[in-house]
Amino acid sequence: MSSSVEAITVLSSDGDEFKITVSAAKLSKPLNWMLEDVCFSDDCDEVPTIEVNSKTLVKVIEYCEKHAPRANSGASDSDAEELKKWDIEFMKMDVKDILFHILMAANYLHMEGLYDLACQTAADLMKGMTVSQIRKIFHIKNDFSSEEQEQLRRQHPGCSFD
Amino acid sequence: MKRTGMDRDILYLPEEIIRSILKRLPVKFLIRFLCVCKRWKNLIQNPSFIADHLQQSTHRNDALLFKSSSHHFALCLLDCGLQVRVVLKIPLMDFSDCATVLGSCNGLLLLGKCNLPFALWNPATKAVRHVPRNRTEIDISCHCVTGFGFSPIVNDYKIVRTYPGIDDTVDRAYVFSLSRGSWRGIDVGNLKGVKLDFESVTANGAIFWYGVKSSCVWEKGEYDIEAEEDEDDMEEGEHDVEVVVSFDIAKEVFTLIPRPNLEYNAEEKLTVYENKLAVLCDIWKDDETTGFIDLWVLDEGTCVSGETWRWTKRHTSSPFSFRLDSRTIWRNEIVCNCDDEGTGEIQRGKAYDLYLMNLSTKEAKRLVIPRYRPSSHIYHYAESLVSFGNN
Repeated sequence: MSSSVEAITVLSSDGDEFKITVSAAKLSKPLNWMLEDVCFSDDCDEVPTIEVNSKTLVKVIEYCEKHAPRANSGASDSDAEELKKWDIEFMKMDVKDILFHILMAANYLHMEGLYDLACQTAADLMKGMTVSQIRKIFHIKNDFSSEEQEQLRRQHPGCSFD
Repeated sequence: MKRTGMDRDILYLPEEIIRSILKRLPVKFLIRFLCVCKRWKNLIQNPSFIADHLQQSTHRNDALLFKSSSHHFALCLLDCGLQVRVVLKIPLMDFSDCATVLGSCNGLLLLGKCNLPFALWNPATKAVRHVPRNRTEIDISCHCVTGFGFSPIVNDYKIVRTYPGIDDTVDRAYVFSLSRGSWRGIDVGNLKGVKLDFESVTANGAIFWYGVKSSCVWEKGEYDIEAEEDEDDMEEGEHDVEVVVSFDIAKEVFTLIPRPNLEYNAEEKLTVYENKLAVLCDIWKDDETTGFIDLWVLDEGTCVSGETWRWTKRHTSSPFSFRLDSRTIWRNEIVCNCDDEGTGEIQRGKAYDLYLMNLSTKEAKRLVIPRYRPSSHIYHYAESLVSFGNN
């Protein structure tokens, strides 16, 4: 692999072009494979497509670029602290609009750190939600009959259908 | 129709991702979300999800549990944010007074009081199951030693209880299996004649105690031939052997393990480190001004001739200038009681301190813990959805 190449170009599912540095791309296994297989072959006309929409890809790349220095070289405790604060700010986003897309993208791109972070963020947000709100954001229909609801409520007094 | 991926603007998360999110939620929210839909209910009640959730909870939310000094039966939790919370009283009136926590494993607590039935309690789901006393024995609580643990091999929780002979050493032992639902007498083997400490720890499908095996054991007029050969004019207690006793929960077998070979006098305390049995050694030097704590870890293995045990000293703390009494290891810290006034007496209503000594940085921090009583046994507790059926 040539070390002179510092960034690669990928296409989002919407067809937009994005640049991502080689060190940042290493945070994702599939992107890493692309680095080895496609981008450095002799006929490098073909730009690989990532099955992630543009809006989400912007955020994913932002995360990669921020975390790449630490992932590649290790970091001091103060860097880790700073990065934690950055993660919290980074995760302040709308659940339905973008967080779920980030989850899908992190899963698809095998990005463990981002996946854990997004899952934890989603879990923390859910703590403040009613069951109706949960159904709404996950697009779920209540498929319990009223008898079943009553039975569940009896078995689990903490259970709420609202 | 596959309900994953992008469906115009509607995004349906695949079950794998929903599962990853849900396993990060505390139990009370999972109970609330049982009612979201049938798919979620089945997911949350699935044993493999419960196991995943437990693993996540143990890893991220391991808390310390101790008895409150101010309430009759309230338990306090020191959580990973170093906050102390009072846990709900046990929902059984019989147990609300003077009950003792006898064990903690996978989010379940074993409680006992006098000769009343034991109770298994999951404080997070609020489920309780009574375990009857063993009827074949007269249960004299103060001389019986109890252990509680889980074996993934047989997927079963067990209570083991030993009974003394004429002295305080072990004579008989019984095991209650939760899946079997009854007590059964077991062979105590070479545990006979061992005096066990009351406190136990559990890890990796085994329960461990500290014990002392007398070299000379008289039992119903027989001489225990397993003990070392005696010497002339041997004084009583001279050849007592200090051991670690391990109980294999799956096989229901006791094994005596040598203690670490310390070349100094120390107060020793069993704990668990990196999922292995470990010993904390509090050393107070002869000059009475400096102390430190060593951590020894046990590696178990097997060879042709049987099992092998190797103790390795893994850490030595920075020196300190007052007496510390180590209790356990928690989140990469040695947890110690502090006795810097040296009175040794416990005063009611006083807030006691805990010291946390970091194993990596060796830094120590002092915590004032409301309602903490230094004499109370500290258990590890991570909440879980683990259930134990109905009796």
